[in-house]
Amino acid sequence: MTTTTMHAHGVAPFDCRETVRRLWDYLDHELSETERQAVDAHLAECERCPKHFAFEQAFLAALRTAREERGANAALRDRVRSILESGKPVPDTERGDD
Amino acid sequence: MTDPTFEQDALGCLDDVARFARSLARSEDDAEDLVQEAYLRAFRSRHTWREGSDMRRWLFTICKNVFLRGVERERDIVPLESEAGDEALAAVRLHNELVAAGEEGMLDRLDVGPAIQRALQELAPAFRAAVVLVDLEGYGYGEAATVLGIPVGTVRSRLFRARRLLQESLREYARDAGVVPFHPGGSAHA
Repeated sequence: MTTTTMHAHGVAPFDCRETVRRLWDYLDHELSETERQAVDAHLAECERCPKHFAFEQAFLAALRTAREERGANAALRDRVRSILESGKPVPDTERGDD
Repeated sequence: MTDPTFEQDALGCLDDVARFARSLARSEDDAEDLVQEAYLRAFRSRHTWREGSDMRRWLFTICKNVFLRGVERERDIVPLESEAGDEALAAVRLHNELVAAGEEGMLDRLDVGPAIQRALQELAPAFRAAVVLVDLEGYGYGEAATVLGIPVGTVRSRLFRARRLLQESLREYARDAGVVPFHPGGSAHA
């Protein structure tokens, strides 16, 4: 568990619950600098919380690898190009399969 | 006459917009219709786009608006909200369960890419959109909120819930695939 002393950045130390509630914000780099420091301070002292953070970090890394590289197919690209050139939708009869 | 810069920039975002549309739509055909309608609207509103501004975000916003057109449809896709911090606590409880059940290594043992794609398709569109924008397309919470037209707090709660649901789906896939031990009833070291 954590100590109850104030840290140099002037924020009361977070306990496990307060730290975990900020887990995703921390991993997404969305915390304020003050809160990030408080989380870092807790992680440096706690035995359990770093394991949760490491697992969720690995999950996010796995999630990023699932980003589809497949974009628009050639037929869709042609139709969009036509829209951008003429401002008119392509009639269904002109839509072909890939 | 189309502004060549506008056309070039808009076309340059097409792959991203197509991926985003697939994350919202139920089928490949619906996604293509969504892309075309979004680009049509973008073309008609091109005078509102300022050169140098974020074209991709602008097109994503239009795409989302096209998708949400119609109150009935929007009502279908908006899930119950939960408190974001509670979702983080729930994710940790799930991690504790995985550890206790010997399932913590599921991410290493699964063919995780296809498994995540399957799990993503099972999410409600509102959850899926948050994950796609933040985790796959790299937007910050504020940018995703702008695209989706919802408060940042709502992005957080949807994103965090979606991540937990994805993890629960992955656990099921791992069990189905036999890559982790299955203990009916599981453990509850929460």
